[in-house]
Amino acid sequence: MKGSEALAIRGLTVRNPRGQKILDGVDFTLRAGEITALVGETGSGKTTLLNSILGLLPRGLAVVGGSVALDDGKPIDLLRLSPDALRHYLGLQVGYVPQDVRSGLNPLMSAEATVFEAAQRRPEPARERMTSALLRAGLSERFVEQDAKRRPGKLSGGQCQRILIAQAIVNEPRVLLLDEPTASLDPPTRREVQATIRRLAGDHCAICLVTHDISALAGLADAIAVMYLGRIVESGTADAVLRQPLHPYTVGLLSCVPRLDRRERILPIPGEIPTNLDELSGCRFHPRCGSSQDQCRSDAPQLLEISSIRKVACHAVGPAAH
Amino acid sequence: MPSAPQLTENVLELRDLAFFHPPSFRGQPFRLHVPALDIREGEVLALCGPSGSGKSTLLAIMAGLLRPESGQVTLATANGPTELFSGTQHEWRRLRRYFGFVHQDPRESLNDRRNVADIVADPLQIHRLAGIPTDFEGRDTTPWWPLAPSRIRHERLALAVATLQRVGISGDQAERSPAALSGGQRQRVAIARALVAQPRLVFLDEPTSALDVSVQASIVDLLRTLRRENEQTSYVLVTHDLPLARQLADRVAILDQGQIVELGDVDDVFQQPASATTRELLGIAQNELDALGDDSD
Repeated sequence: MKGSEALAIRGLTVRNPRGQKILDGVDFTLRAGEITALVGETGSGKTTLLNSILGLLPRGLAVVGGSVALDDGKPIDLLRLSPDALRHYLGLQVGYVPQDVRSGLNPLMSAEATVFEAAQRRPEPARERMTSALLRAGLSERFVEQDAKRRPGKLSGGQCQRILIAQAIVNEPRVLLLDEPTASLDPPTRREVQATIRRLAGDHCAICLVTHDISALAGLADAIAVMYLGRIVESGTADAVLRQPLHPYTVGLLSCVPRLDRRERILPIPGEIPTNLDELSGCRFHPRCGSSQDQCRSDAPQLLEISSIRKVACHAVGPAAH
Repeated sequence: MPSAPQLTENVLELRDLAFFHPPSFRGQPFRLHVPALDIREGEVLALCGPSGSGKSTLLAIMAGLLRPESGQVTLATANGPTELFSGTQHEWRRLRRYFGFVHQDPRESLNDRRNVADIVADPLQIHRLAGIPTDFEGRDTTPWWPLAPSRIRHERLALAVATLQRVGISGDQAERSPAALSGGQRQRVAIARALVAQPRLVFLDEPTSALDVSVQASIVDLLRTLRRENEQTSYVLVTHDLPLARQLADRVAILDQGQIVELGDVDDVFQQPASATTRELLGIAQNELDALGDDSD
C-alpha cells in the first residue's frame, strides 16, 4: 500500500560505553513508495541509526530504549529479535546498500554471482530475478549479457553502486536503506543513480536515504529528517524543509551550500561539532546557534508539530516550550 | 566579487601535452591532449569535468607525478623557467618545493602516529628550508661542522606552528596527533602542510568533497582568506562540483574525454557556456540547487 507505514522507529535511544546518548529518542517513519531522506553531518548518528535497525551496532553501543517496528502483516520489533530471527528479515524484507561501494562488494565474486547469491535466499527461480534486479538497478541489457561476469575491480564506481542496489532489491524488500548512495559519484552519474532510486520507490518500496549532502536530495526525496548530534531537529516534506527551513541548523546547512550565481554566499555555521555530549545540556545545537536563549541552555526542545507537514525541535520556533 | 589579482607572469606553462592510457575496463583507450594551458601567478584555476574526463591525469602531470607522452611542462623557478620532466629524479625533487598538494581525504593523507606540527614541518625538513643559515642573497651558508639539530628543528617547528595558526589550528592542537582532530581540522592541517614551504603553486584535489557540508563552507572560507593574504601563490583546483569552482576560482577549464572543451573566466563560462559539456554540467548543478529555494532574500 502506498503511503502506509513500512518501518516505524519510535523513541530509539542508543548509548555508548561512556553513557552518552549517541541517539536520543529518535522518531522516524518510512512509508511505502516514498523516499525519506535522513540528513546529518559527522557525529549526527545517522550511521548508528542504520546500524541499530540492521543489528550491526559496534561493540560498546547498546540500544537502551525505543522500538523499530517493521510492518510484515503485523508490526515486528526488529530490536527484540534474536540474531537468527533478524537474519530472516534482513536482505528479504530490509535491503541495505552500504556507503563504501568497493568494500561492500566481494572482490572475488563477479557482479552476477553477487546478485545471484542474494537471490537464492528465496525459493523462486533465482536466475530471472537476478536479471530483472540488475535491469531495475539501471544497468543496461548489454551490461547484463556481457559485463556482468566481471569482478568489481573491472567495473566503474557507478556500476558497482548499481550492483549493490541490485543485490539489495533482488528479494523485493519492503524497506530499502541506502547509505550515501551518490556521495562518490560525479554529477552525471549521480543524476542517473538518483533517477534509478526514484523508480525503485515507485515499486511500493519504502526508501531511506542517508546523506550528509543536503543539496544532493533536491528533487529526489519526498520527506526529509535533519539530524544533529543524535536528535532529529526538523522533519517534514522535502519541499517545505528545503524551501523554508525553520530550525537554525537547517538554515545554516542550506546557506553553506555553494551556489552558482553569487560568490559571497557561503556562510559557514560557526564553531565545530561538539564532542562532549555530557556537558551539553538543553538543545544540543545551542553553542553554535545564533538565536540561542537562556531556555536553550537548560531545556531540550521537543520535536513538535508546527503544521501537518512538518515538525521542528526549537524553542525559538513554533509554540512555546512545555 | 573579489577584484582580480594583478597577473604578471605564468607560473606553469603546458605546451602540446599528450598522454595516452591503454584500454582500461571501460573498453576505450584514454587520450589526453592539451595544446596549451597557462597558470598565471596568483590565480585560482579550476579543472572541472565528469569522471574520466582527465582532470586527475592533468593534475598529476602538472604536479610532475606522471610523465606525459610528449609536450612540455615549464615551471617558473628562482633560476628561470625549468622544464619539469627534463632533469634527473634528483633535480625533479628540488622542483617539488615549488608545489603544495592538498589531497581529497584528510583522514588518509595525514599520519596519525606523528604529531601535527611534525607533519606540517615535513616539507621544510625535506627541502631543507627553514633553520638553515643563509647569506643576504639567500645562499646556503651551512658551515662544514654540523649545526645543532635541535636549533634547526626548533625553527622549523616554530614556522609550522605559525602556519597552523594561519589556518586556524591552535598551538595546543599542533602538539596532538591528527587522530584527535575532526575532518575539517585535519583538512586545515593538510592545507598548512601544503603552504608551509611557501610554494608558488598549490594543487587542491577535491579539497572539500570528503567533508561535511558545513565544514566544506569553512574550508572554502579559509581558502579565500589565504588567497587574500598572499596574492603570489597560484592554486589549481580539481573538482566536479561546479558551484565550488564558482566560489573559489578565477578561471575555469572544463574537461571532457581528455580535451579542454572550454577555458575562460569563471563568470563568462558560467553565464555563457559555449560547450555542450559545460551546459550539461551546469544544468545538473542548477537543477539540484533550484529545489533548495532561495533563502537570500
